[in-house]
Amino acid sequence: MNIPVALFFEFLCAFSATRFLYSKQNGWWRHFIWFLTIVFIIDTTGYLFYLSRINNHWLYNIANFIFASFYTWVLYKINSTNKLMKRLLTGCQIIFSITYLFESIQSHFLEASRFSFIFNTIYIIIACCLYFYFLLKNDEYINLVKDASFWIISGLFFFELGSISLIIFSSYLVEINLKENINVSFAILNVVNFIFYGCWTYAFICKYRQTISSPS
Amino acid sequence: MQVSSNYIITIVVVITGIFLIVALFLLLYVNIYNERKKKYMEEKLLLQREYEQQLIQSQLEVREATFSELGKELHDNVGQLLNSTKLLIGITQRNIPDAPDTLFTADETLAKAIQELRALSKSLNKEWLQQFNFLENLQTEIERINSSNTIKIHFNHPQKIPFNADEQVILFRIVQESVQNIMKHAEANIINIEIKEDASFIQIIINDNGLGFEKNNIGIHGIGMLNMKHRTELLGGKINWESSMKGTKVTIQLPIKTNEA
Repeated sequence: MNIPVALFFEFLCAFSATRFLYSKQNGWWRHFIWFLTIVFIIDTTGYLFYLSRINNHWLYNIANFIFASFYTWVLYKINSTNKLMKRLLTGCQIIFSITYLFESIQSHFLEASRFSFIFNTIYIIIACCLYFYFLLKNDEYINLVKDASFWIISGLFFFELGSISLIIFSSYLVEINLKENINVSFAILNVVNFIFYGCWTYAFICKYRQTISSPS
Repeated sequence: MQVSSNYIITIVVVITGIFLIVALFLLLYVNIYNERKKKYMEEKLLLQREYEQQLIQSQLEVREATFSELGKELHDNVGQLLNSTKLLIGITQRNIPDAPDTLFTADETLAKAIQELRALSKSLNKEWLQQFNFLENLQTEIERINSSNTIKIHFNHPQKIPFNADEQVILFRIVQESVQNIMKHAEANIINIEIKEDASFIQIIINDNGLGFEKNNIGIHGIGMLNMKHRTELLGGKINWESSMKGTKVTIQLPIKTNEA
């Protein structure tokens, strides 16, 4: 039986988001609280489906669309002063939504919309790289160790780069899992999720420190 | 062709591993570049400060040179004219048997004016400034002000202060500006000037019992305060104003430069 380690990381991250971002001063950052709570609930449900041998692809097909859209929105908010990034993210989100709907209708929402998610992963990776580029290009020095936005994007960057091969090879990996009972995706996702939620939890701590040290 | 499961698993694991390592290197690069940027900005700031200090130094040198020239002009030109006038009044007094009292008063006033002009000319003279002694000159300035009986200055100081003549001139101008500000605007009748010294710092505290001021309401007097700030920065020190309804306290803190540096 596969132990759902990622669920533990998700829970910790959702808990730290509630603990550190609850204050109204955190503005749009407070949306991480409900988002991570939903992620935890969906992944728990998905895991229970998996244990009960019920197909959970339809659940993740819908959930992943919400997750991917949230990541795009987070990138949009972090880069809200950069017009190019805003245009790029808006355009990509529209294309992603259309292709997702098209693919999902074709599969009657029962299968994962693989190409849409590959597209989503690629544009998020590009957006992360652009964020780093603009960060370096900026004349102003930012202490990255204490910068919450940097850690959010770093976590996302690790997550998307670490999970892209799982999306590309998803059909093979499902087949291997069914035939030989080797769940590669599960193992890799545990590692990637550890880095991802670790970065986000640290980002929430940075945001909290920033909020308590700045005047209201 | 049938692809083996192991082959697929290896490919997926290797690709994921490579991507994660690439991501790690990219983030390390971003961090290293950012730290370099910090170092570059610190160096730039340092250069900018040095440039500003040199600029202030030049401004002050030009100012001292102008003062010196003005002092010479006052002494050689206006001073000579006044002396000639005094001489003429003296001759007139001797030639007129019953000279009016106003002539004697004019003679006395003229003598006072010549004395003040000499003092002013002396204080503006560059050669004189090169052998400048801050404590002696401040003491003379205080005695001059105290003799006017409009304001009383108490001066408490150590035996000597560890600055060269140029630095002592700058320090003298700071204190002079502060005292003049009090006399012009504060409506105070007591000023206390205290100089304290410890191993690494000299602290000069000037306080008065005047009206005080609001920092947001300084107006054109802010230029004088800005000059004081620039001069203090030139000596590598800090200046601070604390004001209330009971008066103003100016604290100047200057580092003592050791020979090791």
